[in-house]
This record gives sequence, C-alpha cells and structure tokens, in this order.
Amino acid sequence: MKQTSHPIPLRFVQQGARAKLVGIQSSQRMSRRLSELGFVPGIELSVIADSGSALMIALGDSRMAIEYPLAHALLVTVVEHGAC
Amino acid sequence: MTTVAAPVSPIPFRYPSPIELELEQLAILFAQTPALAVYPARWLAIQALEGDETMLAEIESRGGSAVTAALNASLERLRASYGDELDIVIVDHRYRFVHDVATRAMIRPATPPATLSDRIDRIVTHRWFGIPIFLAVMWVVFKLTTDVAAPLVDWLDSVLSGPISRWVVALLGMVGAGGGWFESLLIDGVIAGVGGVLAFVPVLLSLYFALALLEDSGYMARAAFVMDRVMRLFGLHGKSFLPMIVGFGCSVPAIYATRTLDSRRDRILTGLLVPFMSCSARLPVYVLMAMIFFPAQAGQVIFGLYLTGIVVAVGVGALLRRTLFLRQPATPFVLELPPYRLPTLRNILRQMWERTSAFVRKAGTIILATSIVVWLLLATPVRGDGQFADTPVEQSAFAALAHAATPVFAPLGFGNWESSGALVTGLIAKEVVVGTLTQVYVGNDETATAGDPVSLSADVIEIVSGLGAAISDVLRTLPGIVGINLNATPAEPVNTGLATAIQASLATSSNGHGALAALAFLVFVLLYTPCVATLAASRHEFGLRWMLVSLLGQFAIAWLAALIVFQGGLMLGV
Repeated sequence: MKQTSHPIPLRFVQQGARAKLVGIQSSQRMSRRLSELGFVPGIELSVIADSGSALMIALGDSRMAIEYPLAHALLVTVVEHGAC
Repeated sequence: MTTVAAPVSPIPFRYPSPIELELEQLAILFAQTPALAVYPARWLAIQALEGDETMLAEIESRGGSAVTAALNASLERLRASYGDELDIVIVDHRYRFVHDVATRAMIRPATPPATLSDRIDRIVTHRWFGIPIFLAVMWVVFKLTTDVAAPLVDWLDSVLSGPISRWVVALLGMVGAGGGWFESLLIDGVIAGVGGVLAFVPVLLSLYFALALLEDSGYMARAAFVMDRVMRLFGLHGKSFLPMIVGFGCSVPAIYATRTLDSRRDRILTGLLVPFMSCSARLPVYVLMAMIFFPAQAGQVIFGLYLTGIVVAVGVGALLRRTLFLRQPATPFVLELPPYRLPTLRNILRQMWERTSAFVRKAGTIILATSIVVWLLLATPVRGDGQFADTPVEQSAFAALAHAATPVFAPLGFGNWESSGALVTGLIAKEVVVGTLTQVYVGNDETATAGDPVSLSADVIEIVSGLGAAISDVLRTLPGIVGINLNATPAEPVNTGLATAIQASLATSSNGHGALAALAFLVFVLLYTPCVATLAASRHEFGLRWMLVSLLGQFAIAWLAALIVFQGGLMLGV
C-alpha cells in the first residue's frame, strides 16, 4: 500500500508495520523523556510485538517496550503496512 | 602563497542559529558568574534551555536575580518561535547530528532486516503465547531446583549426619573430650543446625544457575514486557517485575533493586510486595516438608506455594492501591530491551558462586549463632531431673519458651512447641526453620550418632559411591523436566528419623490431619513476617513506618491464610 499521509497514534499501527514518527502529544516532561530515549520526529520505527498492555518498538538498533497510553501519545504516518 | 589553517572548532556541532545565539550569550554570562563556575558553562546553558528542573533551581539559587532574569528573557525569546517544544527541538537536533554522522559512516540496507532477536521476540513475547511460555520456563526452573537437586541434597545430608558426625565423635574421643556437652554442642548444635541448612546448597546452586541463565540471555527483560499486563493487576507495571523476580532469589537485593523504579509510590508498593515472592531461603523448608508429606507431588506442592505467593501479592497490591496509595497514579512503563545473547559459562558460574557463597557465609555466621542459641536453650533443663546437655527436649528451656507461643498456632493445626519454636527462630533467617526442626527432632533420635564404629576407608567409599549414585539419579531426573519420568519410585525423604518425628508430631497437633497441617505450615512459612535482614533493608529504603506495615501486615496475612487452609481443609473433609 502507498504511504498514508494522515497521522495516527502509534498504538493503532499493526504489528510488523513500519511507520515514521511525526509528533508527540504528551506532557512536556514525558515528551522530553521520550525524545531522550530516541523518539524524535522523523525517525522510522516498527512494531515488533504487542503484549496486550504494551508495545515492543524497534527504533534504529534499540528495542523499547512502551505502554499503551504512551503509544497513544506518539503520532506516526504508516510507511509500510505489516503482514496481517 | 597563503595557507589557511583549518579551523578547529571545539564544538563540532551547532544548534539552529536562534538557539545557538541564546546559548552563547548564556554561556558567557554563566562563565562570568563565579558561583556557577563549578559547571561547564555551555553545558549548563543547554540544560537551562532544555528546562532541567534541578539545574534551573541551581542557577536561580547560585546565580542570583540578574542571571535568572537574563535566562528568563532568553527563554521568552525562544518560546516565541518554538513554543513549548523547545526541549524537544534541542534533543532532536542532537539526534539528527548523530544520525547524520552515522549515515555517512555506515552503509545499511534501506529496509532494516528483522534480526534473529526480533524473530525470537515475535514468538516469545507473543500476545497469547508470551505468558504460557513464561510459565513453562518457570516450571522448568522449579523442576530443576526440586527434582534435579534432590538426590544431591540426600547425599550431602547423609554425608553430614553419617561420616562427618562419626569423624567428629571419633576425633573428640581421641583428644579425650568425647561424650560430654561439647560433643553434644558440635553434633546436635552445629552439625544438625548449620549442616541441616548447608545440605540444601545443591538446591540453591540450581536456582542461581537458572536465574543467571535467564538474566544473561536477555529473557528477563522480555519477561518484564510480557508480565506487564499481569503486573497491572498489582497496580504496578513491567518494570517492577524485575525486583519481584530478584525476590525469588532473596528479598534483600530485591528491595534494593526497587531503586530502579521511577517514583516513590512504585518503590514502596513494590517493596511491600517483594517479600511475598518466595525467596530461596524458604525453599529448603518447602523441600523438607514436601518430601516428607507429599513425596509423590513435591514439585507440584512447591510450584503451588510460589503461585500462592504471587496470588496473595496481587490481592495485597490491589488492596494497597485502593487504600494507602489511593491518590497516587502509576508512572508510565518504558523499558529498553537488550538483544538476546548466548550466556557464557564463565559468567554463569561466577554468579552461582557469588550468590551461593553469600548463603554459605550466612550459614557460617547468623545461622551458626542461632543454632548455638537454640542448642543452649535445648540443653538447659527447666523441668525434670536432667543435667545440662543431657536433658529430654520436652523438659528444656526451648520447649518451655516455644510452648508459650503454641496457642497462636493451635487454630492453624501446628500448635506443637517444635513448630512454634522453629517459626520463631525462622524470623532470624527463614532457612533456620529447617535447622531448628532438625535440632529439635534429631535430638530425639538416638541412632543418629550411635552407629557401629566404621573405618575411615569404609566412610570414604560410602561418600564417593553415594555421590556417584546421586549424580546418576540427577541424570535420570533430567528427562523428567519435560515430563518423562524414568524414576519409578520417588526419591527417599530426607533423613528418615526426622521424617517420622515430624509426621508424628504434626499428626498429634492437628488431631490426625498431619498433611493438612503441613500444608498450612508451609503457607505460613511462605507468607509470614520477613527475616530481619529484609526488615533492615526495608527500613533503610522506605523508613520505619513502612517496615512496620510489612512486619505486622505479613504476620496477619500469613495467620489468616494458614487458618483458611487448615480450617477450610477440615470443613471440606480433607
């Protein structure tokens, strides 16, 4: 599928899909924390696993577990849909 | 000809010009302020613009009003163009720079291929398979610590109570100190008490082997990710799972491990729940009692106890969240996961050695001291006409003191003075329960040391051939981990004299429901007041008030749970 231009929360990105981070909608403190961990606009990430309460995200070479509410705060555009 | 010297910039990368301008001005201002000279000026300027609360407070208190005013003016000018996202812009710029350098220096495929780690994670951390896989891993760990270690425990126990005891008696006889109170101190005090605990070293070695394997492979962090959903039942999240898992080894490092958590609320709540995770010191008690009362289902009983601890922690967590921690929300769960790695044997052996030697040192100090105190109390007659070190245990000071505690435990089915006394000494360290039970009951067992004189060579042969048999038993239990049972008969319970004595004693105290009383006793040991070392750690980390909550709360919970097991079992006609 072609790139979708409409930003959606990372929470709704399917497992295996790749997406580009476009913005963070969270408290200033948490936004800063997330950007320190590498969640900066423009970066590509993919969803590796979903535990039922948190997502495992591939972010460059690191792998991050983030809980659902935070995954709601990260706005992304899907680059490539996962096999689902 | 003119040569242009290549400009060597001390700062190889710069922020966007409006930010850079303010940074430079602030850096000059900070550099000229002597009170702020302890910090690198440019670094401090970056921290200030990023809004680091600690450093902002530092600048305000050390720099004075002029500096603060200048800083606020800078922030005001930048907010006009960047809004509230100034800090993100600054961090983002650093990442862009790093990314830029990395792309120029490295060649990588446009679409990063899924690594082996990722492929493993798709299965291991799968939404539905993740928790069953975790439980299966834990099951293997418990099989390893019970069935596999059991033959070695039997062997060590028989060596300590057989040849070693005989040698001590023989040596004392040679120097003319045989038969007296000193022999009794060594045999009934030190060897029965410390030896009774040391015999469980193989159990701990296998537990620490499993924990090291899980930690070094990277699975532990995955377990935290998978268990996040379960931890939410406790009012905690996946990060608290790591201290909890450490708690299966020992509560003391687990309480210190809560320091990695982000808020005080999470630290205290986790610290209160950690002691419900059954620590390795409690394992010898389970192994001993389960082998005596439930030899065919020892593994299941022990696994059940570990699960009971977790279930009680869920309940207590939910209760605390709705009462003492009502107005304190949880902090968000973010955890970096290391890639899977093949553990090295060297590292695993080192961890096994470090943790087990800490246990052995404890046996040499606190457990030795408790064993001697218990022996003194056992050796001192308070009734009857016995002599010091030659008195029936029922007439000893220990029995008299323990009798005073029995009414508390009577409704739970183990209101005999032997159990009560063992539980009281168990407050010093949980494994002491085993030591005291051995001291109290084996004191009754006259055959323990009065065996026929055996030659040294026969003893050595017995030790070596016993070890050979134990190792072959261990190898035969290994297929049992995956459900294939080559051992037709269960392993012999530890020390038959001790087994019969405990069985008879609990049968009396519970009016013939010995097995039920044993189960209630195990549940009590699982849940009751943490040992003094844990209480000290808890007081150190959370303060006296929370330590008392732990101390009194857990005693009450343990008493109620054991009451439910015993009285409930009676009602159901078990």
